Amino acid sequence: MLVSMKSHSTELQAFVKLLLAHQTALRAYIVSLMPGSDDVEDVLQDANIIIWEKMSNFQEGTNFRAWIFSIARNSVKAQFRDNKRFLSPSVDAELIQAIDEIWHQRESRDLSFRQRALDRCLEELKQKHRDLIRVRYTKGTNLEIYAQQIGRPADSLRTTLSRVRAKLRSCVKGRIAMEGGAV
Amino acid sequence: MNHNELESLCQEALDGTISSENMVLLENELLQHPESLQQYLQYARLQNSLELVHEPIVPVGGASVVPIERIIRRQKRKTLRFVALATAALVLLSISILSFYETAGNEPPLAFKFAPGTDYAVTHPSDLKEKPEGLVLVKGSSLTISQGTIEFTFKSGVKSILQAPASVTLNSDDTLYMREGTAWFHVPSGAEGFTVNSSDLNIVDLGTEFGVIVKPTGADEIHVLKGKVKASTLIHRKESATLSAGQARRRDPVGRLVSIPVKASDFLTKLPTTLPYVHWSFDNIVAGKFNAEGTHPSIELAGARSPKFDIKKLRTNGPFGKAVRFNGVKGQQLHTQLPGIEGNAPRTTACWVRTSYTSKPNGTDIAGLIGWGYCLDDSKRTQSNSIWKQYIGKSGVSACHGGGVYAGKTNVTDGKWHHLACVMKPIDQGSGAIEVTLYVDGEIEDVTTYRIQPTNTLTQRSDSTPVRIGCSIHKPNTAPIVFRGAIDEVYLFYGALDQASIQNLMRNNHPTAK
Repeated sequence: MLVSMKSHSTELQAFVKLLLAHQTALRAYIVSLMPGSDDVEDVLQDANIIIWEKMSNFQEGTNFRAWIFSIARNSVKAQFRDNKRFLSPSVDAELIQAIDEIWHQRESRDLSFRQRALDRCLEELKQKHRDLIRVRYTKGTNLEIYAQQIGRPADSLRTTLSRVRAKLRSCVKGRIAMEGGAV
Repeated sequence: MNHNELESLCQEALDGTISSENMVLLENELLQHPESLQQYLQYARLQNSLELVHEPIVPVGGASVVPIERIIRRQKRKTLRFVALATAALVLLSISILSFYETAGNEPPLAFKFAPGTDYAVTHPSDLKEKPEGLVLVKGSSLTISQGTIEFTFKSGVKSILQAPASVTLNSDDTLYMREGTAWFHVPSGAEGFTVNSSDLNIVDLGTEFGVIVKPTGADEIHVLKGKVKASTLIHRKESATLSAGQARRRDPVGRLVSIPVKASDFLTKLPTTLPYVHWSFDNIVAGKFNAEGTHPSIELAGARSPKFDIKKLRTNGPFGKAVRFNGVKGQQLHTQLPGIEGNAPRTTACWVRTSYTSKPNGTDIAGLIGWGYCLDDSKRTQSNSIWKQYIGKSGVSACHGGGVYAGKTNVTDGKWHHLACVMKPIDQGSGAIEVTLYVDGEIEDVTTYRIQPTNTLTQRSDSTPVRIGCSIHKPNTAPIVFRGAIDEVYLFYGALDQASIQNLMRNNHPTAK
């Protein structure tokens, strides 16, 4: 079904543009507050809806990113409270504040550096390690089934995955530092 | 907690496999040690990026549609629209004037000037006591170009032409670091040793003329046009080679230098007077093809031919000289070898159109005017974000798609000539958000947007469709739907034009600078 969208407000257009431009950072922020949660997409969606509804509260010239992050933070806390099926441990308030402080020090352009660096680092991996990353992060794929397919124990694959991610983190950090971005 | 334990717990937390006891341990560690918290956040960002990277390029059913669409879906009462907007995340200087600017510095390490239509941003090192004046870069300065072309003149006499999209940093008087871009370098006698670095390559000039291509999603390339260079990869095997004129290399994933054909035509060697563009006037036929003119370096690939028909028989009279006429018969469409514009780089397409029928209010799409890219799925319910197409849509309105679908309001299927243009400009590289402006007869259309997805036009796949005129873009080896009507003066600009430039194009049939 087509979703039609129209408006006649220049302010609205500017707002939508800002919101779209911050989606990647907003998602990364939520991931950092909800480690291991399957609810990241739902919380992101809820946060976007609240941002949308509270659009009139945003004052031009103030820190848009800080504003939407505060809304996302509240959405994360609401998810922790309300979803009784959420079994992963929640991050406590003091740690959320510490995470906030680091996020607010970062520039949004870091994310484009990061994406390029990640692309290159993925390229440098061995094919079998790229396959492992793909299996882990592609929806609908499963590490256990993949382990059976290639005849390796799943635990062994998890250990390898851990090493590959550590390598990726180190590689991304190095490349961003080389290009002058904040790591 | 040692380094390995920290890494292990961070990953377990983000995988959702950490125990409650270990989570407490991890939280204490992160609160007490800021460097550990930084490391945790690096893993969180890596997790986010990997999840986003592994979403399907073209979502079926909206799996990776940007979240704003979900907002709309859940809040069906909410509506919004995208039209032309100007943005400035940095100190973005948007230039649409018709003259060049010269520098006035006293031998800075690097002075530059730019072609009309170029959008660029310069950042200088924050620790400079006095910011440099004029169009200059000093050691540590960075320059980013979102569209257009820049000419560099180094103090040593080295000249360079840099094409967008590009991002470079001047590391020293004779060393340029390229994050992205297509650049041609001419190194005069006495300036040997001039160096170009990228994240993958180190290129040292030995007295020569050469080109470098650095793409975010591809392997970096060096093309030697005259003289010699020494090229080395910076990863794994770190292979080095001295290359001579006529040789080109691309680094492969293990750090070797793989031989590729040298493509001098990829590089501009002088500053153009417009944004790079290609123009099909349909006035001249050369070797069975409609001749193309313009300033884009790949112009020789742009000749347009019909796969089945004698193009002389497809000609009719247009607003400016001859036009090309289609009546919906497959095989009439025009094929070129021009790849088109990749990714979500800015672009403008424009042409004159006269349809040979009148569209009903709920009439179907009338095929494409100009388009290119890789079509993953032809179904009507799935719009590909990996093609880009300007077309006449339902109800006879001007439209384009390639990510979102952007449709105007004016029915142009009235049997008269209309000038249609579509201008696309990325808003933010990180999110892939774009802005699209449609013009009908030089006026901005009220645009309705459907199905917003990040635009990612794919031109480099072996089965990508090069630029075609007068038809829709489908899956490889699928016959297209051919336009019914006449088309004249098709322009493809490698950048976003403003309204004055579109109106100039319509009135004078000239690119911006004339």
